[in-house]
Amino acid sequence: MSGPTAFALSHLFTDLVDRPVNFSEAKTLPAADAKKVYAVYETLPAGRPIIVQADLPFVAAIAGLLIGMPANIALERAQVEPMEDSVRDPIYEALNICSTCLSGDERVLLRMMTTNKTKILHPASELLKKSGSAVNYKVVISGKDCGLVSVLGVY
Amino acid sequence: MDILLVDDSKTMRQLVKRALRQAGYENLQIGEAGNGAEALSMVQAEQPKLVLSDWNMPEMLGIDLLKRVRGQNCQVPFGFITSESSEDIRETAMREGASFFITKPFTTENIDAALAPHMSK
Repeated sequence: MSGPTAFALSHLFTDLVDRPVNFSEAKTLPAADAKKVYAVYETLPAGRPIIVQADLPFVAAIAGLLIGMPANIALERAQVEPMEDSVRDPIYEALNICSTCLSGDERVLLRMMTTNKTKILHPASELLKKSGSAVNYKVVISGKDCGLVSVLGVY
Repeated sequence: MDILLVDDSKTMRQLVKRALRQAGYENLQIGEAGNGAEALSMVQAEQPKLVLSDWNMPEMLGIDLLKRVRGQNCQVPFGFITSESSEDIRETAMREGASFFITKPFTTENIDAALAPHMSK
């Protein structure tokens, strides 16, 4: 089993939105915490959970690029509770497509997406308690800092 | 109808339509279905020249849609556009009679290469 690399994630999102998206591994995390989106995946047949925890500005920017909506408007709509369908659907699709690079040799299915991490059930919720299971990436889209993406899993 | 797009995500249907236009298929009549049952009735009623389907959809998986279409003795070219990327899934699709298999994220070039043997622009 192998986890995603910054290169693979960069390549996948660059292909998806046809803009340069650069992931680089972040050793230190910023003090300011953005609102997050959590995507919970399951590997098959092992049933191993993986969580992608992404800053809302990043996924909103990706959604905006997919549907032709300015990033600031996409972010406004993504911050509404419950999230507006116009941005929820493209964010879900982007995170669904992300499943293709989360594990080198297993089938990975997106099981749920939420902005409320208390909705994440066991065993996936255990990953949120173990900081050692996270690999953090700083993301830049077309030269603009769009926050952090963390991949939590046992690889 | 020339192409029937089957995906539960409206966003993805829009993205595929945009890619089809960019690939030069802008003059084709493209229909959309949001699930397998709707797609099955559209295949029967509209007889599209090609079906492009997602794999993971609620109610009916894309592979079950393909089996149902083939079960009606309909040999319409049927391709998948999916985030499923495992070799097992691909082999299952081809064994059941899929014409091609595109993994998301797709490019205009992927779409064109897959459709060209089956559709003229």
